[in-house]
Amino acid sequence: MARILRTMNISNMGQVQASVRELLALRLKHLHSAVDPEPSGTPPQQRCGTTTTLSGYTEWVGDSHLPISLGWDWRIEAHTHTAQWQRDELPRTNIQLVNEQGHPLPWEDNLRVLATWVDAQDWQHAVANAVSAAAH
Amino acid sequence: MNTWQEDLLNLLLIPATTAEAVFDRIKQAALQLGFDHVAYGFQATYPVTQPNITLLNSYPTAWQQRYAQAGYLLTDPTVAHGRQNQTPILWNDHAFASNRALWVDAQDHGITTGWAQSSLERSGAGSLLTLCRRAEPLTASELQAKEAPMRWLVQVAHVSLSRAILAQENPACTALTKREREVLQWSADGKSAQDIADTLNLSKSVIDFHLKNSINKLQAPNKTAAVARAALMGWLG
Repeated sequence: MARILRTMNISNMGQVQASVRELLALRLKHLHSAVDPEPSGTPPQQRCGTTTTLSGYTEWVGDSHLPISLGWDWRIEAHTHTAQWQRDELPRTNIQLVNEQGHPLPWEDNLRVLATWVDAQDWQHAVANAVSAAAH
Repeated sequence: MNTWQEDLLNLLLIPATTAEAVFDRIKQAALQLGFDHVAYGFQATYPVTQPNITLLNSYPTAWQQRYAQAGYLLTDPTVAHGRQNQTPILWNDHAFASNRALWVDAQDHGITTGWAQSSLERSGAGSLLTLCRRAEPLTASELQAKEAPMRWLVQVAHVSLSRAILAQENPACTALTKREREVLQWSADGKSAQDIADTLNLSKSVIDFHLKNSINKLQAPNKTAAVARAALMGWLG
């Protein structure tokens, strides 16, 4: 893994360029998460009995020799029996994926691929622990 | 020559021709990860009362027939788990505690090792990818080494296969014009044709024209069903 991570480099734009293989070898470390403030202006008695949506943001760093950061918004979706933590919208990052020829992906494509990678991470527990700890 | 990781990357970036073509590439990636068989199930959000379920798998024919004949889809504990939980599930006695017969049956058909994970969307659609093999069990060290790419394979399969399946089943998705989508969006917000006409600075007859075309393309019986279908498919976002 170390050999792969060392092939990443920083572009002229200051982004960390990585191949998809390097991405799959990368491990994320939780940095910070928080819950969005509740919308103000609605008296508590009027919110009683209505559906609650909890949302927030989270920031992570990579365990590589280059400074990698990745963040995304999240929300909790209530289903019949469970609550699912879902990523909301595309992530924010300084990672720029390159294809096998070393060419950077278009930025929107880059974020869409990174979104699938974020969805493949077990991030929900760390975020839940962080926001729970912050509430106490 | 592309690695399997690059091949999956391309699956995400280049719209595939058919679900079967995508599935073939998922199978190749699974093989590279050490799994002989792959099963993929996708549940759409439509029709509302009985959502479409699409199943693709590379199991031995005998096991496919046995699974269908016994109606295991309805009682498979790994499917039930995936509907509720996106945590991966490893096939073992514990996972099949509620349906020992299925587990024994699978092993009798040579399917002895399996790992599955679902991907659930906010819309209610979701899929389950199962990776199986006949030979040696999945050890903790192998799982630790491979879980990151396996989890990514689940996401790639969900994004690329669901997109291909929906495109095949709902050609209207691409046929709707920008204006038809816009009119449906306003309808979804409860606006009447006259309201929409006033908002878009068009005549009511033009709005009715777009609504009628949308209803026809979506093969819906009326405006309400057309709006519901378009919304459930995620075409109004």
